[in-house]
Amino acid sequence: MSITYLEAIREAQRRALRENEDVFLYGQDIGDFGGAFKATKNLAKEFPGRVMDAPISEDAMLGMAVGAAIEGMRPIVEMQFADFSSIAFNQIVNQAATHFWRTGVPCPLVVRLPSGGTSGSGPFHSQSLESIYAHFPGLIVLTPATVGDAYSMLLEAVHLSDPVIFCEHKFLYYHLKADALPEENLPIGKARIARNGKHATVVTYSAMLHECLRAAEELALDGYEVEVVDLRSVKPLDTDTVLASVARTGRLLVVGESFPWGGVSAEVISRISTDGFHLLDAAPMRLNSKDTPIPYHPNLWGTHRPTAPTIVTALRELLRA
Amino acid sequence: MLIARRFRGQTGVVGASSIGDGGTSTGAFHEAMNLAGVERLPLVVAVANNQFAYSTPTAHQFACKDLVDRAVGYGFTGHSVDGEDLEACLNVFKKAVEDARNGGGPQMVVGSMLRLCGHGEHDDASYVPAAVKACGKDCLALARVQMVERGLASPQELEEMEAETYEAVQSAVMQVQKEPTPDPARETWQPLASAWLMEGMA
Repeated sequence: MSITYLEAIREAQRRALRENEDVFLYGQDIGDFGGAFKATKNLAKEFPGRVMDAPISEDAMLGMAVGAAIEGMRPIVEMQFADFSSIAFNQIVNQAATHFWRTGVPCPLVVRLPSGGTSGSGPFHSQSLESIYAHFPGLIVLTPATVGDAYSMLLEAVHLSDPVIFCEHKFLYYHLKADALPEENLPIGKARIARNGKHATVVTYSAMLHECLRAAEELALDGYEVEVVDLRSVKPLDTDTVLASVARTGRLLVVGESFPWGGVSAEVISRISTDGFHLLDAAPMRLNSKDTPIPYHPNLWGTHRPTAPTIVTALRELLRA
Repeated sequence: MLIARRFRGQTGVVGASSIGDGGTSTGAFHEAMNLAGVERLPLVVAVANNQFAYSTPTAHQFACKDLVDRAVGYGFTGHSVDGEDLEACLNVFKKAVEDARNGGGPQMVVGSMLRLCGHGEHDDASYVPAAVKACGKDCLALARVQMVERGLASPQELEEMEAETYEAVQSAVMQVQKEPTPDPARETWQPLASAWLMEGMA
């Protein structure tokens, strides 16, 4: 048996619907149609009335989800594309994120954001918004890179009593496969060493994990052992695991697909520079997408975001420093 | 919240929400009204059109002739009422609430009146033209007269009600003033219900 990243997300939603009657799904075209990416295929049939089509009203969708959540329901909202969540920004950051702080009443909801670039998707269907949402207190921001994490972290997100931004990567939907779904997994908030090494640490998450692993493989041919840390969740951010890795390697590169200004990469470097300055043998580096909107043409898109070859180049520079 | 009650099978529930004329210009208002219409929620939305949103007159707020005209577009039943007429308001809201409760779909009630004071304590409302200001009537004063005329309450009962309300507000203020102010050193600084996921940066 083999299961894709997308199927894992569907199975997690199916299990959440089956195990908890407070769970319902809400999003555009997610009912009988099964969603733009088919993340909810057949679920409307299996759970009548609990997989609801929404009008094209991201703001109102999140408003409805917040209202249902504070009444004890556990909505999972599908944004058709992460990019469109900007229209629901007010409800997410001003209402959902502040609700527990303001009132003591939890706001348990999950917003699924189909994130990141795929070839030819252009500026409005490719963005990675984890850094934006991680900026706001009161939100948990998850960035699964593997089939197992997509499954177990989505299930765990549904059980949390806080608003969770679940950044699922579209590039991984169909290509990434695993033999089976995990019975158990690391909890949210724990990073994972995806590859052991001793010469440099690469910290990454989501689809960039796979580019970084390819880069590490290539450098292994030259005798460099690169350690790869998969953050899994960017908020909370597992600083301890990164520090421990940097203590072993003395060198740090952070790779992210989101725009370079500020963000998760900057946050990791800031924390390691502050808490682990004495561990560093070279200035920490980061590699993000270019500071432009995301281009349509595959040639341009391929060089806009970090890829294994550009990560190799950055790592060679870091290893020379 | 109405969706949660629907999932729980709670029937006979009506939701109520109120907003001013300025709030109806937001995208969120249009989206939420459309959504409530699509879901046929048992919702009553009261719109108080007091002619000014802070300093902005309705002519700069919307271009439709009457806000109630929007009800049709949202799939709501629209009701207009003179917001200075208590009895008319009671009748309209009674019908709107009953219809919403009995499966008639969402209801929008637009009441018209004039704001007689500023937007806030700091605001002298000098932007309201004198001629307009002169037309304004005090809804509460009118309601008192009407209640006595219709025999709904005697002047003495009204005085008692006002005294009771004054007392309730005063005791709430007193209680709040007696309570200690928040102490930053004792504050939990906890924005997450899942305390174990806090990062220690608060």
